[in-house]
Amino acid sequence: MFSLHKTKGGVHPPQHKDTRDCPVVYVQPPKQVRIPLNMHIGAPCTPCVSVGDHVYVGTLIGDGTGLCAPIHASISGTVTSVATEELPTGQTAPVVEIEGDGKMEQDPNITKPTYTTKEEFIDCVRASGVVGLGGASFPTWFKMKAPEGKKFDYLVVNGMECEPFITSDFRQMMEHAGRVIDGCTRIVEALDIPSAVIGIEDNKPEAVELLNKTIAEKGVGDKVEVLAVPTKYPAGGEKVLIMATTGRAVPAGGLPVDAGCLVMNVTSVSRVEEYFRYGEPLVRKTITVAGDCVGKPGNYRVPIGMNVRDVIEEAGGLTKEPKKVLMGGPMMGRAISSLDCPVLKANNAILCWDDLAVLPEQSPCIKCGRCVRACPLSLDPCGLAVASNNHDLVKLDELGVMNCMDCGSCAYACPAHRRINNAIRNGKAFYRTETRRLAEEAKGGN
Amino acid sequence: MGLIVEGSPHFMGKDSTQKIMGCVCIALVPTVIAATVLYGLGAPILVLACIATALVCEHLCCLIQRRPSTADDFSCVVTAMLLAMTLPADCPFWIAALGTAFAIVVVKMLFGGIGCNVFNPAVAGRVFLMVAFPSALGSYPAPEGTPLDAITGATPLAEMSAGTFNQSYLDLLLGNHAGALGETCIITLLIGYVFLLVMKVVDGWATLPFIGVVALMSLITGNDVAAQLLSGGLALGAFFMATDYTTTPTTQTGKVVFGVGCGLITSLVRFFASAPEGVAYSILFMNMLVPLIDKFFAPKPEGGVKRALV
Repeated sequence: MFSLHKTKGGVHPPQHKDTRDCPVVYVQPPKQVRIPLNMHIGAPCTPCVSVGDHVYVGTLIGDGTGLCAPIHASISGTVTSVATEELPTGQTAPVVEIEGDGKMEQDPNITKPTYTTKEEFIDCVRASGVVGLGGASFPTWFKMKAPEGKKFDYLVVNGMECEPFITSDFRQMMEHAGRVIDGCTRIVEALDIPSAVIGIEDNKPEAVELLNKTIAEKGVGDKVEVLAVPTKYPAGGEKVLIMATTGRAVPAGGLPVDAGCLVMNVTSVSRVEEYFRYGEPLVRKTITVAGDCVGKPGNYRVPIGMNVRDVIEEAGGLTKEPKKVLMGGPMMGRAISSLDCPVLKANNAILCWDDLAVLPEQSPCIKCGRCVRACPLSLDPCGLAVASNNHDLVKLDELGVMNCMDCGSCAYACPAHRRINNAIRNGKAFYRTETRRLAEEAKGGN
Repeated sequence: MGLIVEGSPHFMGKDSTQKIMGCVCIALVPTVIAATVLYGLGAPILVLACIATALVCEHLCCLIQRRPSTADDFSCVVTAMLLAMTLPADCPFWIAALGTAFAIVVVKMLFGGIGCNVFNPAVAGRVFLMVAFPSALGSYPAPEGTPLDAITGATPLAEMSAGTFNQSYLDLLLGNHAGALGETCIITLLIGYVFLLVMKVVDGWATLPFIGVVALMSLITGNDVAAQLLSGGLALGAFFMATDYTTTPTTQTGKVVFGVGCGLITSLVRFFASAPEGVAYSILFMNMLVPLIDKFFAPKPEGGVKRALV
C-alpha cells in the first residue's frame, strides 16, 4: 500500500556505521546516577522524592502536568541530592542524584499495565515515561492525542537512523524485531489507525529483511509494512520521512497530525511494547559509543542518568584525550563541555573525537547555491543566515525561518564551511522573542 | 581538559572554495596549451602576466581593506585566466595588466570582494579594455603556421558579418583561425567544461539554454547554426562565465532564465547590431538582473510559510 515518494535536497555524509555488528551489551550498574528532570520537550518535572528516600528501579521520581513525561529512577539506592544544576549540555534543570546500592532491585509495585479504551492506553503510555527517542524527546503520549477534528491516517515508524555513526536503532530492530512489530500492531489497534509503515534506510537491508520476515510470521501484513528509503541525510527527519512514505507535506507551523501522521521512532515503539509486556518504565537506553578515542566502540545498554565518563569507562575507556565529545550524531548532536554529564532519555550516541574534532575555518560565501539545493525543506539557507545576522525580522518572516529543522545539511554542503544553520538557529531565537514582544505590544495597545 | 563546544553540524563536506576555484583553473589549462600551439609562447606568458597582476591586486586590496587575504582561494586566478582568454595573443602586457587590475580592484574588491561582486570581473574587465583600447583589442593575430603567418586576420564572426567567411567547421572546432587566445579552440574548452561537470563544480542549467537559444535564433534568422555556435566567445562564455557562482542565480529555474536571457541578447547583438560579438554584453546585462531573478524564482518552502507579520 505504501510507496516511495520523492524528497528534496539532502546530503551524503560518510556513514561510519562501524558499530552496526556490535550486539547490545548491558553495562555494570553505576555507583551513582544523576537524572535531570527536563528530558523531554515541555515543562520540567517536579521532583517527588527527597534526600534520603530509598528508590527502586522504576520508582517515580518526578512528574508534572501538561506537556510533560514522568521520570523514573534507573538504579536502586538512596536519593542523595535534589537540586537545580547546570549541565554540561548547557541546560539548567532540577537533577535527582541517586547513590546506587548495586542491587538493581525492581520496584515491587510495578505491575503489567492493562487498558480497554484509547484514553486508558494513552495514560499507560504516559506512565511509561517514553518520549521521542530519536532525539526530539517529544512526550509520546502527547503526540498520540489527536486534537479535536483531526485523526491519524498513518503510523509512520522511523527506523531510518540517517545520522552517521549511530547504530542503536539498527541493533534494536535486529535484536527485538518481534517487539517492534508487536508494538506497531498494538499502537495502530489501540489508537484506531488504519495502517503503519516502518521507514528504513536502504543501507540496512538486513533490518528490512528481518522485519518483513517477522511481519509475515505474525500475519500482520495488512496493518504493518516496511519501506526501504534511499539513504540520504536527513531522510529520517520527521517531515522528510512523512514526505517519503506518504507523499504528504506537514504545513508550516503544524505538527505531523496536520498531515494525518503519528510519527514514532522505532526504539520508542519497541519501548512502549516493552512497557506493556513487562511493566518496566523507560529507565535504560541503548547508546552507540564510538569515535577514535574509545577503546571498545559498540552499543551499550545504560541506565538513564549514568555519567558519560562511566559509560566510556565501560566501553573500554579512552585511548587518547578527545578534543570533542558529542551527545548524539555528528549532524545534530550536541558538543558537551565536560564528561561529567548524565545520559538523557533521548541520547542515542556518545562520540569521542580527536581526528574529526577540528572543523575547517569559514571563508566568505561565494553564492554557489549548494545550501539551497541541499535544504530538504526547500528553504533559502543563505538568505536566512544573512537575515539572521542582520536581525532582519521581516525577511526572516518572509523566508519562513521557523520551518528550519536545524538538520545542518546547508552547513555540510557549504564549500566555504559557513556555519549556516548556527546563524539560522540564532535567527530563530531572535524571531521568537521579537514576535512574542510584538504580539504583547499589540495586546497592550488595544 | 578543554573540550571543543560548538553548534552542530560537527561534520563538514570535503569541498572548499580553493578546491572549486582550483578545478576551474585546471579546466582552463588545456585551452592555454591549445593557445600556445596556435598563437605561440606569447599566449601563456600573457596568461601568467594576468595571474600575477590579479594576485598582487587582490592581496593589496585585502591589506588596505584590513581583512584576511583572499588571494589564496584562487578566485582571482580564475578571473585573471578568464580575462586573458578573451585577449588577443599579441595584446601588450600593460594593457592586459590594466584590465586585470580593473577587474579585481574595481569590479570585485570595491563591491566587497569574493561573493559580493555584481558583475563577472573577467567579462567586465574585458569590456573595459574594449572601450578603453579599441585598437589593441580590435585585431587578432592569426594562428602561427597559416599562410597568413604573423599577420592580423579577421575573426570568423567579423567575416560572417562581412560575408567573407569561408572556413571549415573543423578549423572552427580546433580554433585554427584568428581570435582571442582562449576563445577559439572549442575542443579544449569543451574538455574543460566536461571536467567541471564531472567534478560537480558546475551544471548545465544556464549553459544549455544559453547555447540552445543562440542556435534557435541562428536558425530563425537564417544564419549558419554550427558556425555561430563554434565561433566567437560563446563557448567560453557559456561554459565558464555563465556558470560563475556569484554572478548567476542560485536556483535551477533562475539559471535557465539567466541562460535564455544571455542567449537572446547575444543573438540580438550578433544578428541585428553593428558589433560582431555580444557574449560579453549579454553576460554583463544578465548579471545585473540576477538579484531580480533570484527574488522571483526563490525556492518555495515545503509546507508553505506561516507568516507572523503581515
